[in-house]
Amino acid sequence: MTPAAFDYYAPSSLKEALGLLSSYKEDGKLLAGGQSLVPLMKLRLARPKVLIDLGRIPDLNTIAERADSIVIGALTTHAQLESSDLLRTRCPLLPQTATTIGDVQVRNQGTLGGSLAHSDPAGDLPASIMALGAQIKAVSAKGERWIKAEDFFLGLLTTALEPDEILTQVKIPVSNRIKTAYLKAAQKAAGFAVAGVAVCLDLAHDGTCRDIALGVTGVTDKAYRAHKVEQKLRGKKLDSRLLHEAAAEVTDSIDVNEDINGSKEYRSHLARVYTIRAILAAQG
Amino acid sequence: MLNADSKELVIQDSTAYVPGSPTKKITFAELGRIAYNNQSLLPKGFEAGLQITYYYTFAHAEPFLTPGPDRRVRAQFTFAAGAHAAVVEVDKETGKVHVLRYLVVGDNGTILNPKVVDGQIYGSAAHGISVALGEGFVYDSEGQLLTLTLTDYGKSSTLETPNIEVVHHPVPSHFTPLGQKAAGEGGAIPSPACIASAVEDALKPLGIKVRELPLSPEAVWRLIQEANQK
Ligand SMILES: Cc1cc2nc3c(=O)[nH]c(=O)nc-3n(C[C@H](O)[C@H](O)[C@H](O)COP(=O)(O)OP(=O)(O)OC[C@H]3O[C@@H](n4cnc5c(N)ncnc54)[C@H](O)[C@@H]3O)c2cc1C
Repeated sequence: MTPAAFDYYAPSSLKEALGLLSSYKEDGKLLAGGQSLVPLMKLRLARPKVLIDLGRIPDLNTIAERADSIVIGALTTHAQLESSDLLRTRCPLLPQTATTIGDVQVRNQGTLGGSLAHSDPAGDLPASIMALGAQIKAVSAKGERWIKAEDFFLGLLTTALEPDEILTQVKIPVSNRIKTAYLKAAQKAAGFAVAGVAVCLDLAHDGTCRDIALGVTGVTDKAYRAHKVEQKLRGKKLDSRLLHEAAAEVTDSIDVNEDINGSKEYRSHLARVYTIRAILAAQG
Repeated sequence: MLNADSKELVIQDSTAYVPGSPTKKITFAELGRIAYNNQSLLPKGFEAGLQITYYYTFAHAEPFLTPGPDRRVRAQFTFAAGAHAAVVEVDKETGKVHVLRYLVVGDNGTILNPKVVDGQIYGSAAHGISVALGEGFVYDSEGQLLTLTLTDYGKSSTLETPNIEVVHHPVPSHFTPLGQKAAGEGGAIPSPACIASAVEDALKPLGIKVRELPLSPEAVWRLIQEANQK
């Protein structure tokens, strides 16, 4: 339960951090809240030679409002997401999701950027970031680029980030028309998702579904968009029969996980149940 | 220390004194302080600390644990008794069990330290509820243990543990010097059965019988699926 020896750097600027990252390459690991990395180091499943702590870099934990988007710094903690008035009014899905993560200590330490960069198959925020159609900013010594949430998660603990890139910001398009919800069946001890579903729903006055986006987590090796379900619902009135029919497809062509928290069959069932429940919760 | 013969001493109100000699007097607290913290004040050759060991022999012990004519054996000296009741809600779709209310009536005999007895009941009932709803060793088909850490073992945290309401109904034991019985196991033993019965009761319309623990969400979901297929 003691990590292997490592060197520790706490750069005070992004530039310095990028410099360290490009000189240590695979030997270096970025440290944000440490809530995923440190447990892996204690089990010696991760043995980075060098830790580059992002915590002293200014302005990486701000939440800023733009005309039709909100930009959130990578080091914003789950607790900050949970309690931000701006997010609560303009993008309630993130507070709704952050509240369900782990416990208070984990939420005080864990960060949005860490959660996305880690790409835990049972992490909550990836589902919401997918449903929100967010963009993720990756910066390296060579330059910067924006990655679409949908192109970001590649698989188990794997993302589109290059080894020399730092995730600095997440940009979320916002609209007052969108109703949201995040619901999950949680694992017993840590609270990770056995199956979790995030919904962004745009309903017309007559109850017709103008648009819908569903992010699903816990079910397979990474968070994914349930496009098939969305297609079945767009342009239709969301009655119970249609919801059941559409939700039945949430794990179509998905390789569903199986572990002590649930068999393939049970997880697929939970994904269907939580798809329906999340949509109903978003409708209010 | 008091320069008195032990036969002259009277012990009363946590004080040892010699009647009629107002200076020959020491409180237990002071004696304790000296025995542990100021050994230089102790008589020469007197060992520091205050200790005594006494072995109580239980008058009703049966030496060889052989059954009597009634074919019974007294294997324990004293027993606690308890009755548990639970109100649970089962999510029919996911199989998740929520314990809404949990009550314990305990007969722990004469209660010597109420806080400790309550603590034993809370702790053991919480443990039993956790056993009923999630704890267990899970092995894969190769015999590899999958529940190696507390993260995986399925122990309930304070968040899933219901408020445990305790009512004491102490009936002093005839067999122990102070009438005390026991605490602890009285909480752990009935609780899994109590939860299982409550789940059966909640699912009564489906005629479900619980034969196995833990009642993890998936296990309960499977019971419901099987009942629905009948
Ligand atoms: C007891 C417990 C319960 C938990 N329960 C939940 C839960 O219910 N739901 C849930 O979603 N999560 C849960 N978590 C995980 C938690 O949300 C983590 O905080 C999160 O997954 C990782 O964020 P972090 O800031 O701690 O990252 P770290 O652990 O510091 O880093 C994780 C990984 O991301 C990389 N990284 C971090 N920041 C950046 C960056 N800006 N750019 C590039 N790479 C970066 C690191 O190099 C590392 O590889 C739990 C954790 C614990 C310990």
